[in-house]
Amino acid sequence: MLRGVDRVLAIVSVAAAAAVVIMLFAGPQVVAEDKPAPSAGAGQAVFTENCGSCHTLSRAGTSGQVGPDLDSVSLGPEEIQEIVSGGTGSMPSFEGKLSDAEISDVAKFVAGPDYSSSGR
Amino acid sequence: MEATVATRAAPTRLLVAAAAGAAVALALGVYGNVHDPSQELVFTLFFSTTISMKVWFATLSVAFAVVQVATALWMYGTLRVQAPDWTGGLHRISGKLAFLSTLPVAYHCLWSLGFQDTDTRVLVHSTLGCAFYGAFVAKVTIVRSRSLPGWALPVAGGLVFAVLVLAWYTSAVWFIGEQGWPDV
Repeated sequence: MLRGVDRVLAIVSVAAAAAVVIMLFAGPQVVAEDKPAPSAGAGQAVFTENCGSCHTLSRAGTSGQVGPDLDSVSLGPEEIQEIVSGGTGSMPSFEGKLSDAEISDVAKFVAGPDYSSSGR
Repeated sequence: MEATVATRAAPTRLLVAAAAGAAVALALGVYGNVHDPSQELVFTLFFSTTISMKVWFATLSVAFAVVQVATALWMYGTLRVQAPDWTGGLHRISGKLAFLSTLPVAYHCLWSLGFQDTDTRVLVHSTLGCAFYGAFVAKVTIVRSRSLPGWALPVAGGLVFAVLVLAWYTSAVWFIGEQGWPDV
């Protein structure tokens, strides 16, 4: 009984590992075709590279779930800049990892294009 | 004569196992570094979120690994109780289930997040994640090799277990500590 289960699991393990390897190489291309064209902006690039793995932000096409969902957060660029620079809770400080210009860019990007016009 | 050949062959076999493991760990690290992280959620299986899937699968994997280590200790006589016949089967099955449980987690880590070094924890976790599969390959190679020293398999198994537990500690345990157990 156990021997039969073990044999089946051995085959499943090899097949699953092979499938993962194939998906690691085939997956990015498959999804890239479905991705919307990214909007221009240095802030988006900084966000995707450094923040997207933890935060969801639909404008950046990211869906991280470790930190707050930024689609439902309304903060100004200065507040965001402060959080990015100093960190908060479990979020690390990015000061020294990102330049001042990058922190400023990403803060403006996260605040959104309507921030100044809507007076949030 | 045969004993001499076996003695000489053992270090070579151990080196082959270590080299195979190092190659796998390195390959995963390179992949995680060079490919463009998708930041996409691919699947959640039957869980509500990807992070929930990862925390639960990683924890499940450690649970199976504990069973594997316990049955190994039993078979080696460390528990001072005669191991029944089914211990070996349970040992192999729990090991395979532990390995299978890591795959959805590793896939998301590698494909969606890549090798990251945003802080010490993340760097340690990224390194351990790659090292786990290297240690796993080395252990499987040792299991399938003959005439190796008696300490080789327990050391390899212990290494795989230690790396898995540390990788779990720097991810799932950290997440649970920060945000509590995620809903299934």
